[in-house]
This record gives sequence, structure tokens and C-alpha cells, in this order.
Amino acid sequence: MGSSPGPNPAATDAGAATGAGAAPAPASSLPIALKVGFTLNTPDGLRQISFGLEEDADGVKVNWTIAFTLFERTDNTKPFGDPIVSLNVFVATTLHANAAVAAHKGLTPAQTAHATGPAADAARAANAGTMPLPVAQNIIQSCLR
Amino acid sequence: MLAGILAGTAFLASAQQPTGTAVLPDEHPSMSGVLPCVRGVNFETGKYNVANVTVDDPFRFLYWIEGRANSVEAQLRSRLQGHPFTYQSAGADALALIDATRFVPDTPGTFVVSFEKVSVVNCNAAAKTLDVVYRIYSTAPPIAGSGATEMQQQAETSPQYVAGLTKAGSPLALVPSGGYNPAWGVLAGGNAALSLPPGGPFDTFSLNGQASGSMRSAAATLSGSASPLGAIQHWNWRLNYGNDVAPAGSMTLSKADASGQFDAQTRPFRQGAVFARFGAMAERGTMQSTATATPLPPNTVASAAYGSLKGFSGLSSRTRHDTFAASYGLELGSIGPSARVDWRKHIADVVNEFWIPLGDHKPLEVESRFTAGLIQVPHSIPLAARFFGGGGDGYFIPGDAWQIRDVPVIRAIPANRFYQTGQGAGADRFAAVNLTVSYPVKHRPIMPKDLSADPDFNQLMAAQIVSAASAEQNYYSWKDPHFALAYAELPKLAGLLDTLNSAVNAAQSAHPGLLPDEFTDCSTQLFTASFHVKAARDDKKVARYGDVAVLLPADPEDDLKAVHDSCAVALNGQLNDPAVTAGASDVDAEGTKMFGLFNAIDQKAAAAKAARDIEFVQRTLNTLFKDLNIFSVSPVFVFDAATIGPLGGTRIGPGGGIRLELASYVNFTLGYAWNVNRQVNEGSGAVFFSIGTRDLFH
Repeated sequence: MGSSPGPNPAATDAGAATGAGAAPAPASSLPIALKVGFTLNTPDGLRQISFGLEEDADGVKVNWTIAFTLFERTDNTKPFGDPIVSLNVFVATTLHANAAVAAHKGLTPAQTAHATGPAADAARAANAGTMPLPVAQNIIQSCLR
Repeated sequence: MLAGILAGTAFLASAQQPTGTAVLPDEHPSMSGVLPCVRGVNFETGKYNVANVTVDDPFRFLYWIEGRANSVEAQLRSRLQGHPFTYQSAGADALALIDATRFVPDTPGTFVVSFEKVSVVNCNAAAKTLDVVYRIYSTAPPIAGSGATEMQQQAETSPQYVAGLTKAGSPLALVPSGGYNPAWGVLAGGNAALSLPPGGPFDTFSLNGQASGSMRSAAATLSGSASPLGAIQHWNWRLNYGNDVAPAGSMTLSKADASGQFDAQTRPFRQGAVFARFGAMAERGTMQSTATATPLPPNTVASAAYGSLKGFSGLSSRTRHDTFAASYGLELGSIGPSARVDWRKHIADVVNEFWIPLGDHKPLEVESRFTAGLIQVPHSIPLAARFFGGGGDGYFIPGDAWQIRDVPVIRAIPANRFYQTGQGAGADRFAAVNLTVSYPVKHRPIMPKDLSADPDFNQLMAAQIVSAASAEQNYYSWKDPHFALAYAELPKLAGLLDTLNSAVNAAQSAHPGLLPDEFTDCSTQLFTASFHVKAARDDKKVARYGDVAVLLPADPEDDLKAVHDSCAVALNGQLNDPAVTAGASDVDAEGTKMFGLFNAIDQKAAAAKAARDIEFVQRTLNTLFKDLNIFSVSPVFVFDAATIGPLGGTRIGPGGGIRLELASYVNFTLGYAWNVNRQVNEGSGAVFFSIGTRDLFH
């Protein structure tokens, strides 16, 4: 395991705040980012699609991002190497609630079908220059609609 | 419309509101010796510096995970430590680096669920410093076999197998093993397995052996497997060569054989709680013995070349705290003409393991096994094919994936020393019950308690399993015949979209400068729909499902409706071009037909199949999260009772010992069992000891 934060004498001050009638003690650990992901390896081993939902908080604001990555290879005996496409799509505020539901409840079959089909195709087309990137981002984001 | 999409998406990409829907878990309670970090403080504008960076992965005890975690930790420290804290560098940028490190192997046909959390701790407002902690958890649980009793046993000694974290790093696996048996002395050996390149019929070549001063056992195996989704969920096949020599009292028994076998596992049924297995094996070899002074039972020969056919089947189940398997095997053996059955061997083996949590990660484990065998000899049988019992184990078929015990095990008697019957050496029937109870008195969970007990973590991980089930459901929907019918309409739809596109282009040429936005919107929607039709017709199997769905109301995009709205309504509502009207009408009609076919897909059945596939995975992960320890010390109580016949008598052997498990590093059980009703020439009991060690290359 990696090294852990060492003890700090000043910490006793924080602990002293806990007691009858006192305000709850501030947390020791404060999350600033969370990412959950689902990766599908196709049975032939030639394609890997990764769909991640990332929540970032800076203490005031909350942002949601879709991290979409597509790997392809022609020989499944060799590593995937660099992704064909790696797109981070900011989730519109209007879809934040949907993003939270997807993170907490999982993707529905329709959302999964969209992620592995149209979203992957759009990402690849954007990478090949046959589809404008914002259009591809919009299609990817539709996974949360 | 295209311009609108561009502008809208650019807005979506840049617009970030002060508040949003959050799922970030609540902070952990105060930890002694660590300064608190207060929610609501912006540590970036507050000019904090990063004092320390830690990467935490519960599977860091594996060599290859440790190596990658060390690498990531070093890179993050280089980037962050001693530098001003920013949310971008500590959050999204760092997570991108972690993702690129790939902590899970790329196993075809699997899914991976991952959880990554970044936290700040030890926030020192006076010094303006804080620490950043990265907690990573990734797993690729195998779907097939998750419900088997063998998988539960493997989870306890090598949890990385049930987490899908084995097939990475070196293609060579080398696992030493050892043990002690009073009949054989100190044993040493191991297993070497080489992963073969994909694409061939076999994926692993392995050598396995153990030897002591008086026995040796060696095996070479080529094995392969496949996990198709369907009624049969998993196939295994093997080619085996084995050579064993072991003492049995004053005799020595030996066997050399070559065999080929397969077995299959069905998709779970009965609410996803049970699955069936079946298989067959053909074997040819020799069995020999040095039984010169020992009386042999009737129709028994000391040595012979032989051939046999084996068939085996069984049921397995797994619930939250219980695994169960019942297996039956039949062997038809011959030492004479190959068409003649010289002996028939029947084996029944029932094994159950349940564990009751009596405190956090402190399960009371009860392993019980009932095994019975019967040999019928219409002609003759080699001595070594009869039953020899004691403290040594033996199985009906080679391999670890399905273990059907075929010897009477009683740990109070040394291996192969329980065989004297009223007719001579080697029993033709037996029944045995074996019970092992253990409870950890010292332990350390694999999953840190603050993580495994975190309801947010559990919910988020469960959600990823739901996503996996959704992908499985799509697979079964894709296999539905109605999808094939809908898919078959794509060439016609492609032609109709082309016709409409031509009509729109012709209309635009005929009316230059008229309705420019409407023409652009219509062309864009036609391009998108045609793009998805073309994508669906590419050879990419199950991904076609989403490409067909996106054309229809099954997907929020609903391409054909967008074509209708933009071309037939927005554009042609003003243009009234007859060719566009006809083209749009044809596309609408075809879309309606396709949606009717698509809607006929039995989604309920697909969902049920997917749920059954995933059910065992969820239970296995629950065990991993809530019950398994990376380290434990447990007192062990054992009780065995075995009887052999004809007229071999019954032996009872209670005992006790201690078990140490250091997951993936070493596990051993040491104990002593008393032979409470020992007979002439039998000892008062026996020491039992086994040891397994970690894979040296992983």
C-alpha cells in the first residue's frame, strides 16, 4: 500500500469540537471527484468500448462529464494500444439529473445500446473527420436522454 | 439545424452552473491524527499546495497491480506533490492518467466495472497544504462459473480470480504447492501454466506435479474454453496426460493415461439460482500395482492396459451465503475388447459450503461433503481402479473447474491406507461424510471497511452491474428473430432515404435560396439517418442493435422521426414538393414497418436471461466485498466418517487444527484427526497438512 497521511497534532483541535451540543466534526476526507465506468469487451476481442461518468466538485460547483473511449485492433493477440477515440463530453446542466441517475442506477438497455452503437460510431466518425466533433459529442451525450 | 447543433453543443460543453445533481459520497467521519477538510472551501483559490499523494487499490497485493499503482503514484507525485492544488490536475487529469494505465486485462467477452474516487485529506489551513488520495477499484468478474462451489473455494485463496484480475502481466503462471501426509511424507511441487495466443483451440498449456520420497504425480494439459451467451453459457475442453505413482500400504499403485474431455455449463435457471453442468471424457492408459502378497478381490487384476468412457452431470447453486453442488459420474471401463464393458463405476458427490457472518468479515464457514461410490464388475477390473481411501484426495476427472471427488476421504488415516475389505484390497463401494468448520479469529478484509460499508460505493458498483445486465439484454434482443426481420429491412430503408435525399436535392436546385435553414436541417437529418443505416450494416454484430434502435422511437434520437419532422413537416410543409412528399411518405411507412418488427422483440425474455446471467456475478462480488479477507487465522474443526465395502468397516475421525490464509500469497491448513475406532494395523490418527502459495509471476 502507499504511504498514508501521517498524524498531525493539530488534528486534536478538530476532534475537540465533537461533543454534546457541538456541531458535527468536519470530515477528514472530502471527495472532489468520482468516476464510475463500464467497459465492454466484444466477444471477438477486437473492440473495447468504455463509458464513464465523472463528477467533479470544487466545493461549490458540480460538473458532470462523459468519458467515452473506443479501442479497436485487428489482431486480438496484440494490445489495444492507444484509443481510436477518447472523448470527454461535458454533460449539459439539464442532463445532470439523468447523469446522477445513470451513475446511481446504471444504464438502461436503450442507453447501453446507444453507447455501444451510435455513440461509438459517432466517435469514430468524428475521429476520421467524417462527422463534426460537436455533432458526435451531441450523439454521445444522448446516452443520458 | 446543423449550426444549431454546433452552437448548442458548444454551449452545453461550456455552460457549467453553480449547482448540479451530485452523487459524490458524503465525507468519511473524522479520522484520528488527520486534519479535516471542510466542504465549501475552494482549495484552488485558497492557494493550497499538495503535500502528499496516495493511490489505494485493494488488489495492490498482486505484483502487476502493485507495479502499475506504483507507476501511477510516482507520476501523480511528480505532477502534483509540492505544486499548487488545482481541481483539474488533481481530478480529471489524474483520473485520465489512471484510466490510461489499464488496471484490468482486456479479456474478450467480458465487462469491466470501475470505481475511482479522488479525495483531499489532511487540509492544513495554516500551512496551506493538503493530501490527495486516489481510491481505485476495478473488476472484470467472470460470468460463467461464478456460482460453482469451486469458484467460492478459489475466491478464498485467490480472490483476484473472481475479480477477473488474473490474465495480465506475464503469460506464465507458476504456483508452488506442498503438503504433508504420513503415508507419503513431505510433498513438494507446483503448477506451471502458459497462456497461449488467442485464436487457437487451446488457451492454456499447463504442467502440474507433486512428489515425495514415496509418491509422484505429474500431468500435462492443453485446455481451452469458450463462453457464448445462450443456453450453454460456458464450454471447457482439455487434452490430458497423467502419470501417478503412490503407495497403498505395502503395495504401490501406478497409473499412466491420456484422455480428452469436455464439459459445459448451462445458463442459470430457477430465478438464476441454479445451473447444470455435464460432460464426457475418453481415457486410455495402464494401471499397475505391486500387489503380490496381498489378496485381491474377485475379478480383479493387478495390472492391465485399459480404456474408459466417463459421463458426468450435476447441478450447482449459489445464494448469498451458500454454494451447493451435486454431481454424478459414470465410468464404463474395459481391459478386454474395446466394445466390452468390464466394469462400471458410479460416483455421487454432494458438496455444500455456507458461511454465516458473525461480525464484520468474520464468517463462520461450514464445508460439508458427502461422497459415495459403487463399482460393478461384470468381467474384470484393475486393482488401481478400485477405491482406496484415507487422507488423500482424488477426483473423477482432471482439472480444477469441476471437482467430483471419487475416493473415501478420512483425514484420520494416511492416504490410500483405508482399503482392506472382506474380499481383499480395494473397495467396491464406499460412503464418506466430511465436515470442516472454521472461524477467523484474526483477519484483515480485502476491501477496506470504509469502502465496503459505504452505501454510496455499494450503490454505484451495483449500478455498473446493472449496466452490464443491460448490455447482456441487448445481446439477447439482438438474437431475437424479430430483430433479424427488422434488420433485413435496412437495404430497403437505405434506398428510400437515398430517394428522398435526391428529391430534396432536386427541390433545392429548383428553388435556389428558398428555405435555406429548412433544407439544411432536412439534409442533416437525412445524413444522420443514412449514417446510422450504413453503420448498422457494417459487420459488428451486437452493436448493430443500437444502430437500428437509433433509427426508431426505441432511442431518444429517433432518426426517422427527425427526418419526418425536418423534411416532411418543416420543409415540405412550406414547399409542397410532390417528390419530397412521396419520398418522405415511403420512409415513414418503412419506419413504421421496422418499428413494428422491432417492437415484437421479446424484451421481457431478454431481460430475464440477462438477469440470470448476471445474478451469480452480483453474489460473487458481494462475497468479495463483504466476506473475504486478505489475511485470516482460523481455528478449524474437522469431522469425517467413512465406510467401505464389502465388510471394510466404518471409521470416524474428529480432529482440529489451524488455517492461515494470506490471500494469493499462501494458505495452509495444519491439524490432527483421531481415528476413534481404529482397527488392527491402523494408527491412532494422522496429521493433515496442505499448503498453497501465490503465483510467482503475478
